[in-house]
Amino acid sequence: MKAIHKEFYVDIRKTIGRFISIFLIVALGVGFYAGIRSTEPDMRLTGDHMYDASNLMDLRIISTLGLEAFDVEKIAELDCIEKASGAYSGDVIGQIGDNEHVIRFLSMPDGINEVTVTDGRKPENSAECMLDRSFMEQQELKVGDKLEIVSAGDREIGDLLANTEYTVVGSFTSTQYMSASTKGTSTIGDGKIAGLAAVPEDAFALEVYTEIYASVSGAKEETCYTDAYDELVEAAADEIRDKVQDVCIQARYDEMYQAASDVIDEIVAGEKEVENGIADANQVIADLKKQIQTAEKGIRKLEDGISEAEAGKKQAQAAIDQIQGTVDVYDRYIERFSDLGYVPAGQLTNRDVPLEQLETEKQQYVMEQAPYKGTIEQLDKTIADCRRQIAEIEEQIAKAEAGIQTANEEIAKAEDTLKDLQMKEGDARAARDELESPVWYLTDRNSIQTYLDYDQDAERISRIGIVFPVIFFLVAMLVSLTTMTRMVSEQRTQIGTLKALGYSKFSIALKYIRYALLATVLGSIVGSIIGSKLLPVVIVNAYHILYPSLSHVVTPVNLTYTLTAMGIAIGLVLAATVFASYRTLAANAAALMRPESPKAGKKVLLERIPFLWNHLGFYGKSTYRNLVRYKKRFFMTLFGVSGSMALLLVGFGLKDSTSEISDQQYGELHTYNASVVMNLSTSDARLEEARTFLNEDNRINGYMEMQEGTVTASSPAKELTVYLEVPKESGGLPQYIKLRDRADKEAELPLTDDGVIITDKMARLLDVQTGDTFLLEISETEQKELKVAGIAENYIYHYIYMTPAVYEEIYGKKPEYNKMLLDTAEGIEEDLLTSDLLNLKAVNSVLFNSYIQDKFQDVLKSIDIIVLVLLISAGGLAFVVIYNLNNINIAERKRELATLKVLGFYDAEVTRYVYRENILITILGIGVGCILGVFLHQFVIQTAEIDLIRFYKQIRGISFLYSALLTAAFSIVINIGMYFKLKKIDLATSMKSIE
Amino acid sequence: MDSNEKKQTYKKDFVVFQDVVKLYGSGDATVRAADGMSFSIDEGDFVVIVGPSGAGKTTALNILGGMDTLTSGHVFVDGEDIGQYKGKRLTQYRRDEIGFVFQFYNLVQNLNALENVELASQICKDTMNAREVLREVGLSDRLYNFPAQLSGGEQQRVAIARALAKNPKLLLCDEPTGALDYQTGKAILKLLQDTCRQKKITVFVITHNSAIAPMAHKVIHIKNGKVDKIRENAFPVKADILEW
Repeated sequence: MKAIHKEFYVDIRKTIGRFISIFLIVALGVGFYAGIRSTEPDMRLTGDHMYDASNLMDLRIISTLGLEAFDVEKIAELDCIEKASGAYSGDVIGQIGDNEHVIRFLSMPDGINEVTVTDGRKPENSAECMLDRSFMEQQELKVGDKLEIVSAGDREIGDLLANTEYTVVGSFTSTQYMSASTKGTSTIGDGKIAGLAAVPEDAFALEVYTEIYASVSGAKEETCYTDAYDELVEAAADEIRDKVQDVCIQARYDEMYQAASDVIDEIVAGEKEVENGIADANQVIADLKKQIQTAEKGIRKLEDGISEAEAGKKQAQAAIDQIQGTVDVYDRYIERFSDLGYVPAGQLTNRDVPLEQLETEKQQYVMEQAPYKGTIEQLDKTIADCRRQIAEIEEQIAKAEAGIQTANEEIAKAEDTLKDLQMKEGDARAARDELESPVWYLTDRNSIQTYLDYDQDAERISRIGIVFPVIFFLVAMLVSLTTMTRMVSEQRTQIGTLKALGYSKFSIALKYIRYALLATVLGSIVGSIIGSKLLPVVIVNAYHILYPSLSHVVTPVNLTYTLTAMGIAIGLVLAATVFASYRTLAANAAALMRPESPKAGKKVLLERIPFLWNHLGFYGKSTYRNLVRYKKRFFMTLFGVSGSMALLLVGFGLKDSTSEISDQQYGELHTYNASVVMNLSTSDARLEEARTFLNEDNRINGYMEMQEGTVTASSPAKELTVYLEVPKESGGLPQYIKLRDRADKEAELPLTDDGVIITDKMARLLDVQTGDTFLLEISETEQKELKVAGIAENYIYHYIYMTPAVYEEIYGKKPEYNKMLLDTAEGIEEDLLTSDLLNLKAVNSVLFNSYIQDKFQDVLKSIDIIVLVLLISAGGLAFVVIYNLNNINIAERKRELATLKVLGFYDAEVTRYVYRENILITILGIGVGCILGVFLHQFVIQTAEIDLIRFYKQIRGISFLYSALLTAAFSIVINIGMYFKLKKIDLATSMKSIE
Repeated sequence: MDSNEKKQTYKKDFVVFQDVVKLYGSGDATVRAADGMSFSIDEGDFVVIVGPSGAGKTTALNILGGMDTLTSGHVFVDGEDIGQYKGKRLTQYRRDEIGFVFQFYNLVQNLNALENVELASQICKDTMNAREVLREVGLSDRLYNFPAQLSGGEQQRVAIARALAKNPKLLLCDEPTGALDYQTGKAILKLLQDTCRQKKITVFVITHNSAIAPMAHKVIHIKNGKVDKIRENAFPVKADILEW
């Protein structure tokens, strides 16, 4: 066996071209297979590294009643939980410069969901914030800009945030929000979160955490997206549910119940107090009434006294009057007889009575009057005294009565209060009775949209990875088949000799098997290393557009895929080798010693058409017959060249499909030049001012008002976030947005009150046709059915178009036209118009479609890398097959070619004779490749397409041309290389006997 | 058969070898394949070159056929020093002036008899009709057969037809009967002789079978790269009466 061993290496050296052919094609196939297939696990691994580096949460807990430090502690206590931390978040409408955006505020992470500071620094106080990088880039913001909070939706800003103005001190990326375009939806503003703001915890004014993030012990060691990881996290979630959730919920409930009870107690205490007040007041009233009674009694007594005194006075007066009568009699006598000075006898008595006596006697009587007068005086005094006392008492009574009045009023008031309190008590009790246990929601990473999207993207790549290598493997098999067939037939005599010497069939076959095996194994190793190191990086880099925060790509050589690819390659090549050598090896030694009878030329189909056939020169005739005669070679080359063409077409087609997206969307469909978002909270006068500006400025040809909002549409098939567009006048719509059928581009779809028009991709995802219905979420609890009146061509995002009448019917309110679409004049300074528009108070933001289109061009740059990879692969493929074909053709036809030279053919003519075949196969290959490429392109696009975008399915004509030219160029370059080999053919070869 | 009359209309010294030297390799490994060969042939001669293997027969034929260049000396064909030709000029010489018949026929397997003849006639200016030539070599009913469907003799006839269709000045044959049986070989030789006579083409036949020498006008014996001797037959024997 030693001799055969040595001969083996000599053979390789002598046929290095062939060896390299097999090596290269296997390397291409295995590299492509291992590379693309590894991209899926590599993307996951890259994601895992990134998630682990940022400590992306494994679990997120939210509660209907908020969460507290106690909950965090309880969760953190679990063995299965490595760390738990409470966090705040809330959505606001913030203004930066002139534009308003929905911004989600997040508290700076504490060990979980760490963010990466990409610019500036972390916020250090409650008036500073960081914004996410993609938002900063999209809005062209810089560190130092101010963010002003305009609104926090239904609640007061102060209930959510401590400040209303924040200074941007830096930018960040977060693995929780990887996507540049979709950061989630919000219940405020236009419903789409435009940016994220990270602030210190104390910038929040919330009393309870809005969520708790938890890391599961040991989850970091697992790779995310794997079952092992999912199971671990699920187990931890179960444990939280089993061991913590109820305790926390009970605690929270008890606390809430206690708080409610405290409120009730407080109310009850209040009621008591009021009741006491009423009782006191009543007491006061009673007392006062008693006082009044007593006083009145006093008054009566005093009045009795007065009457008594009056009576006394009357008696005394009577006595006085009586005495006075006597006195008066004396006076009369005194007066009548004053002249006499005496009273003649007989008058009174029988004697004269002197007046003096009378006087004296009168005086006695007057004297008698005095005590009575004194009595009267005394009594008068008594009466006055009583009268005064009565007045005093009456005053007291009045006061008491006023007191009663006041008290009564107080009581009335207190009773009102009481009633109030009782009602409150009732409410509070009802509230306490109705108090429900909070509900916890445990979600894992699958609740993060980008986490899921990323996984799906990885899966898509993997699916593509199955198709491309098929081409390479097929060609690899054909290359090995033709190469080994040629090799075996070249060594026919030698095989015969070995057989004659007694070597077994198997040991002879072993040489060819080893030859093929060595090339295949070497090719597999080199291919898989280059493929699995290079391709994932290229592909993941292309995904950078979607996931700007993707970091360093991790590319271990994936043994499973490498070995699978190697296995496939070895299997195919070995099968080809055995097939190629079987017949020769089976022949007996003597037969092998004789030269192989040449394969007979055969009539080909074309000869039956003499008109065509007779016009062919002998070059043509020979070429056609050759193609038919050596089918293996023909198919190998055809597959190789068409594969090459197809790959190029896919590459250029991908570029077309992506570049056409924006060209079609903004060139053909959304033909308006700019959109202006209005600030509807300004005054009507301001809005009118804006309209006047739009009407009068000559840079603006026209504008249309519409309402735009983000809504959720669903069908049994799918739930989608879409834009709802309500143009004010649907008649003017075609000037700004063309609604047309995709198949029949001339067929404009009229927007009527009969239903809504939705975009095609949306219809496909929802699986609805014209005439079908789907559900539109009006509020969290209400959905309404909408009828599809038409399906419109569209490429970016999903839209529902409806008339104001339909809107009113669905929502029960008139649309608010928050957006203006502008048709601007050609060649205007967009920046200037933008700033003029922003100067209007009613204008919130301005966006030119040209800006979006520019952004889209950036996406294309990443496609360029993929095109380059495909180009290199295509070149490799074409090289291998054409080289191989030429190599075999020249080796096999050396005598024939030498003969031609002897006959006097010039080198160019000999070359043409050989190349005819190559040229023809190249042309055929280009043709077949066109078809193959179109299908492959369709497949790749359908697989790679994301929900939000519908790729343009057509490949531009120029791409067919480029691909064809490149394929032809590959062929030409290799053929030129072969020319020198042809030139070297020695004329003397023609004299040699047939081997 | 009137050779005297012929010689008057034919050019004398149509082919002349003058001290032709051909060296292969260099230094110690130098092989002198032709070591000062000289001879002269008249137009229309049937020439047989004989000699042992490796004597330089093929070298002489290759040089004459424009398939190889010489190291020194001169080769005149119809007055032109073709020994000075190189590259494209040499190819053109082969193309227009030389007809070549190989030992193993060297037909293009993929082309049928007619096409194989056309292969040659398509590339030169003054050609004969392919069908006509094939008829002349006796293959008018095998026009559309592929080489694999023809016997060795028939294949060699096609090869001769291919050479003749070019209307060459010289017909060079390298062991034309080497792969054929006796009878067929004789028939082929007869065809060559008749061609020579009727078409007035100068024919060179290389062989190591000296039995066919009598049918030549001139027999050149070559040994060790030199002309050993030249024998002339005033009355060449007809091929069909040769025996060997």
